[in-house]
Amino acid sequence: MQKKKRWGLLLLLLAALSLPGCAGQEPEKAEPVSLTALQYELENQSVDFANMWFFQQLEERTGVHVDFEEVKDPDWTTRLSLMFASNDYKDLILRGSLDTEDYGVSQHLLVPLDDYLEQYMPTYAARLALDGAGDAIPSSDGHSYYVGFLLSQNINTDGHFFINRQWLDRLGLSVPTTIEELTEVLRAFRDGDPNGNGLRDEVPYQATFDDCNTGIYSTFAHWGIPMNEWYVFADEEGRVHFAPEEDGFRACLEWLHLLCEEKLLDVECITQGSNLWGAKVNTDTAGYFSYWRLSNTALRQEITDQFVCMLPVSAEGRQAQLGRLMDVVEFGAALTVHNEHIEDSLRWLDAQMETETMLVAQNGPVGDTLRLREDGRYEVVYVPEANELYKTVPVLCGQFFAPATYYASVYEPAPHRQEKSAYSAYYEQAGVLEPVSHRILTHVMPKTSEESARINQLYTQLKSVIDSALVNFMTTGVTDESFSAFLTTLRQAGSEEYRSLYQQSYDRYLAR
Amino acid sequence: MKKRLQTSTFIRYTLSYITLLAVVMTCLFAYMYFYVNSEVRERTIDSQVNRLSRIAMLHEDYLSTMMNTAVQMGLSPFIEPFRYDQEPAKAYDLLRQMAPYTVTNSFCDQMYLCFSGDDHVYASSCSMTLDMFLRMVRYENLSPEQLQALIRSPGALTVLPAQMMESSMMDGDRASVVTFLMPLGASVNSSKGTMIFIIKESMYWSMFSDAIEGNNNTYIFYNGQLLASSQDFSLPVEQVASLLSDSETGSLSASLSYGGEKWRVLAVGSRAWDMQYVTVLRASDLTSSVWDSMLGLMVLLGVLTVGGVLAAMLLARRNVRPIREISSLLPRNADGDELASIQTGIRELSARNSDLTFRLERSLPMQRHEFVLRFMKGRYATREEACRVASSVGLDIDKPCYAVVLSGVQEYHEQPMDLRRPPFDGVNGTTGCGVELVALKAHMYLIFSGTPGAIREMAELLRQTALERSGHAMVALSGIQTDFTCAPSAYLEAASAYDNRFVMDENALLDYSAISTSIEDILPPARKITDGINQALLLRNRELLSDKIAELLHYLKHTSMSPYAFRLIYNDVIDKLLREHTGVLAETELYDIFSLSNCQSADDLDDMLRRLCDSILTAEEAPASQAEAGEDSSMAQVVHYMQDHFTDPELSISAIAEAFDMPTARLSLTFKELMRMSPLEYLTLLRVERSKELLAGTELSIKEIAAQVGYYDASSFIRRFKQIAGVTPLQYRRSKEENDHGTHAEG
Repeated sequence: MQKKKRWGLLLLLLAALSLPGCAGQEPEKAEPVSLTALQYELENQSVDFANMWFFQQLEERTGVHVDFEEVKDPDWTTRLSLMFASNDYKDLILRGSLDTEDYGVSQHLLVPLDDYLEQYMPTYAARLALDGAGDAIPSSDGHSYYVGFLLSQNINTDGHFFINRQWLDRLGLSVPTTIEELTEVLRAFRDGDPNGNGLRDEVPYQATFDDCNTGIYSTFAHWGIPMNEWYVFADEEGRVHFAPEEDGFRACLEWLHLLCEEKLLDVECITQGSNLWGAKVNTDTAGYFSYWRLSNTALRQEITDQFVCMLPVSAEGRQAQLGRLMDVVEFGAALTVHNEHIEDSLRWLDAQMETETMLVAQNGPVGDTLRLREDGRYEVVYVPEANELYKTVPVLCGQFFAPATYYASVYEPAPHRQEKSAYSAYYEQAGVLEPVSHRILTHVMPKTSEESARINQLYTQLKSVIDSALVNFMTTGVTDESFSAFLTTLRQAGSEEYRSLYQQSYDRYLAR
Repeated sequence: MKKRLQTSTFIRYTLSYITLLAVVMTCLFAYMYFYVNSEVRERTIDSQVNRLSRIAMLHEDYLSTMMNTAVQMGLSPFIEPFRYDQEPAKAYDLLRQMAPYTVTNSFCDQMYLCFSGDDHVYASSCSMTLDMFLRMVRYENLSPEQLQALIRSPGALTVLPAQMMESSMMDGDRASVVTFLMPLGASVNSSKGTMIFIIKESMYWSMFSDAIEGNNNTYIFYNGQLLASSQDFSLPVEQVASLLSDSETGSLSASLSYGGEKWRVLAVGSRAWDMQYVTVLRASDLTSSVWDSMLGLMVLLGVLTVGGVLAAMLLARRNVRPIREISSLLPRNADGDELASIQTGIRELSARNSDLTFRLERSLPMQRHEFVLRFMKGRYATREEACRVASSVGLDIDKPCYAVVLSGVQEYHEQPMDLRRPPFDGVNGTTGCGVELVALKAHMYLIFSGTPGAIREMAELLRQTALERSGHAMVALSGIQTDFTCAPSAYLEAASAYDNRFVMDENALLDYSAISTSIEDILPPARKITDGINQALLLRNRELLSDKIAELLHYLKHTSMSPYAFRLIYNDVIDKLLREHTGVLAETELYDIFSLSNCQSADDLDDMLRRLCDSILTAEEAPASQAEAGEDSSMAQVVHYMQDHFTDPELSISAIAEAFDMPTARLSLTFKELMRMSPLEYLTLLRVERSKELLAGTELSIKEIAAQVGYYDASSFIRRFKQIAGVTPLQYRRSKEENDHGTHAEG
């Protein structure tokens, strides 16, 4: 009897134990690390980072999942400010730009990476020493707050000038070399129906606004002002100049107004981005513009085939001078102090620095768009059109750190990159580039955090004044009063202090 | 095989238990299924409703942000309508103003503004003419003209459900988008223009995907129109929409049948935005979930069932074993069925038993037995009826008188004597029949005769025969009756006479007619004799005393009296002796009033009286200065003397005392002091021990043995023997015989 009771109890116990377990339970599995990231995105791109093949492969390899919030270029700075202001930090900030002096040195919102790099980013750390590539990364407090982005590819300027050779030919014109000739060519484009559609729909000069690629900032080069987004450049004597206060700045404004007035320049350039600019150029209504290169861009090939690269024209008595680019370590990635997975974050970033992975991120998968040559270097097999590559790999939005020596040993540049290199060599040869790259001022030379903070503060004010003035001068014209007022406003906004801060830093840099 | 299944008791038992187990398991399974089914369905539906509520909250949060953006921008003093061609610089400022709003509307892929009197469209990063916008943004189900009309007059809220859109602004990509058009300002009337919010449907898909998403279709309906959806399976949206139109609140939980399948539709309604958030689950998926949850329980039930089957087989085996044992005792059924064999066997035994019973009942002795009992109970209403029945069992009772005789038996198994056989057949004109009265341990004879004398003669024969058989006779005769209806009275009379065996010479015929004398007639003569005994005591005349005791005994034995009368006499005699000689006897067993219970007959009384008188005489004669020395050797001689003469019936305590020339009392006291028992007890012991040897070692009758060990009559011997040995001599002999047989058998 006792035995029976025991069996009964055992069965009852079994039944009782199984009831709550009806809904079958799976064994516990280690949760993959999940990170959040603010991801920079080019304005003319619409990239689905979350579902991109490259990052899926990376997740499988590293066990790190990243939730991307894509932010387009025009919104980047605002979104960054909003993130830091709202205290709703992402774990990672990827690509774009970041004021590490402000957020890192001053506000301590970024993780100093010095103590982690050798252990968790050995691939990247080994490359920092090559060609002194990592020298510019440490901030004024000596700490490195970001992972650098370096793409050494023999590029020395931003936008090159292109003119519609087909239209010139149709109209029997030659490539202009002076500002006057250019103006005349533009007028001819406006009036001569060079696209042959019977409409006066030609917009001779198509541009965007405040950049040196497609933007009208490039036009100041005609007056020998190597305008750039930071408005400062240095001469061979070591003097730092503030572009809006240079001779020729007003003349350029007057020319731009003239172009607007005569509808030689699309006045909407003041509000259109590169996306719309590309859309308009693709309508075969543009005859002249500045751009990074022609192939493998947002422009259709039947359009780009009409254009040729030309040297920047020079205004009378001026030598055209464009801003010079140099291999500068850009911002690649940073970790906010809210990141609780520093080791995993750095492992994930370093995995992207592995040679093949890095080249794949830039050029597409091996066996598809990329191949490994017999000499051990990788080369691009073909480049998909219309930025198709961005559907698979992050290209410029991924992590990349390739000092020139290393890059040459592992990579044979793609044709479109060779095209850009050719243009660069052409401009270099023509001597239309500023002698000292402004990037030394803006990216290379170290500044103290105070200097950096003040520069950023002044820059915001000055950019607002300059861009507003540009818009006004272009649309309403330039008068002595208005220009004088502009200069006064600039000074009030701290133009001299701004220039002096650069000068001060540059002096220290030169004195090193 | 089938036959085997039908006939095997083990299989039959096993199947029975398994059937019972199956019923229990089925009930258990059914209970679990219904429980799990309702739990899982309820849980799934709850989680889906919660999911829809979360989606609704999130979505309407986004919509509120868009609405707030449109209102705030409309109310902003920095955003005032202008014409681009007149004031292009304002466009630059407007873009800067729009930038923060764009960032906060992260749900939107694109956000545009168009002033009422302007032909430009503005975003935070660019502006373009409305014509350019209409060229760049192409909806699948909306012409540029229709889009333009909507932009110019959007109303309070215009929603363009998900549809493909081609846009150069999206890098030439095609994407399915949901578009909201809202007035730029607090109301339509105060609107400065139109806000356009374009949301990629993929944003909705990511909103729909969550941990509990599972396999389902999720829809958002706006005013009954599908806004966005993600579908895991093909189901015409019209089917869902028609179901939703029936719901007043927008929320519902309903079933839908389509394409031969059943679907579960759950909806959460939102009045604020006229939205309905709907999810559709395949009913079969719900059922699968239930079975998935049941899997563990089914495994458990399976294990329990296997265990139960094994237990059933063990139990069946245990139960079948005794059946097989019983079955093996019975003839095997032709088909080998054990239960059937038992059934058949029992039937056969039952039939045999019935037959035997019937035959027994029908046997003449039994019928006679039944007749005698019924007659004695007065069950026959008339003499004729009794005669007729008696005649049918071979008894001729049609005689003038009859009587009942009770005859005590020593052993239960003794059969009544057959009165038709010698020596009873020698009494002419009598008919009789005897039956056992087990409770009374006696036989009852019903004797019919023409004369009372013949009946008495028959009774006397019965007594003599009994005496010859066992050396002991207790035969009582009722009064002579003539009326058959007085049979019960006759029995009572015989029983009364039988009771007197205690007080009368039990070997004499106990005639009811002889014991009718009243106590008043009996007591005076008894007292007279008692007085004589007392006088003999006072005279210390032992001979006289013995004579008087013998006289009393004779009187008692030959005077019919009831046991009550006997006890009265007994008390009277003892009482008188004790009163007269108080103080002489200190302590004696005779003083114990309970010893009355040991006195069952006149011989007992005789023994007791003699002992009492001896005690009184000894006590009164004993000199106080009795020499102690030599007592041991004297007693040893007494013991030897008793051992040599115990077979002599005349050997008594007084005879011994006389032989050794010492007072009887002194002999008794000294003997008892040394031997821890009285001389009489020792004498009895010697006689009983000797009789045991004779009982076991010889075939002498009880009577002979009694005589050989010193008893005059067998009944005294039997009583003494029983007192010492606890059994009668006959029982002792039988038990010895059985033991011997057992020993021989074992040997």
